[in-house]
Amino acid sequence: MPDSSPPTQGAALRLALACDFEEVRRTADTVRTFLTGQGCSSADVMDCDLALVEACNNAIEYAPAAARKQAILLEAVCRPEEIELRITDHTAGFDLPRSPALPNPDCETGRGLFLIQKLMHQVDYVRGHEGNTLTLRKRRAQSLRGKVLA
Amino acid sequence: MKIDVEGDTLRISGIKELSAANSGAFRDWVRGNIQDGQKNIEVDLSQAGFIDSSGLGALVSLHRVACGRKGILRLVKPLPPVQQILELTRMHSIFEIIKA
Repeated sequence: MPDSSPPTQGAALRLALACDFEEVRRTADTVRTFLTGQGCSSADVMDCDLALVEACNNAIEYAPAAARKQAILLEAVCRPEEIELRITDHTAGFDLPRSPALPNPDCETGRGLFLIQKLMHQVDYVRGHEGNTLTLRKRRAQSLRGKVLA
Repeated sequence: MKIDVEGDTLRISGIKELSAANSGAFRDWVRGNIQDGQKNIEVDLSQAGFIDSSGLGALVSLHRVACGRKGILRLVKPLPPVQQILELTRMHSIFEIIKA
């Protein structure tokens, strides 16, 4: 039976994701199970789940052919006050917009970063030689979805 | 997933999720099954527990197909997590939604 009490120092989960859309949901399920086991609220877990899926989809979508054999690295850290998700990709990187806008309603793409920003409290992206890292932070026990809908 | 035809409406049901892994195939499958005389597309989301932006993109594509035939895309009984994404992205004002 998983321990559902919040950690005092923080608990971490590290995973490697193959560069394949088919693997994203399964990996996200593992993170969701981890966060639930750490006592995160279902609303927080759902928000993190979708944000993580969107981040992984982008990391796969924009990976150049040469990088497709490299795994995308995921780290989830659960602290009493916040959840932190780190996704290290091997794309050419991008400039993270301060506040992504929604595309025209007829556009079939372009909503991923918007969703990530809406669901998380803080989003940072750092480019590096060994990969680029997207860091998502969410304060616990509060659903931004609930705030939006209120 | 299952497709039924009722009059001028194509109905799709049995969707478990719409994600980057299956949304392109879903979109192409529905587009490939729509026949002359069918102008409306009805997507039953009552079993869909997850949708991401790729899934939304597939629905936008089907919305455009229906509009091109002077019909509508109708989403039926989206579960709360899916409804929340529709509202967060403001797509609830674009699609016709029949709530549970």
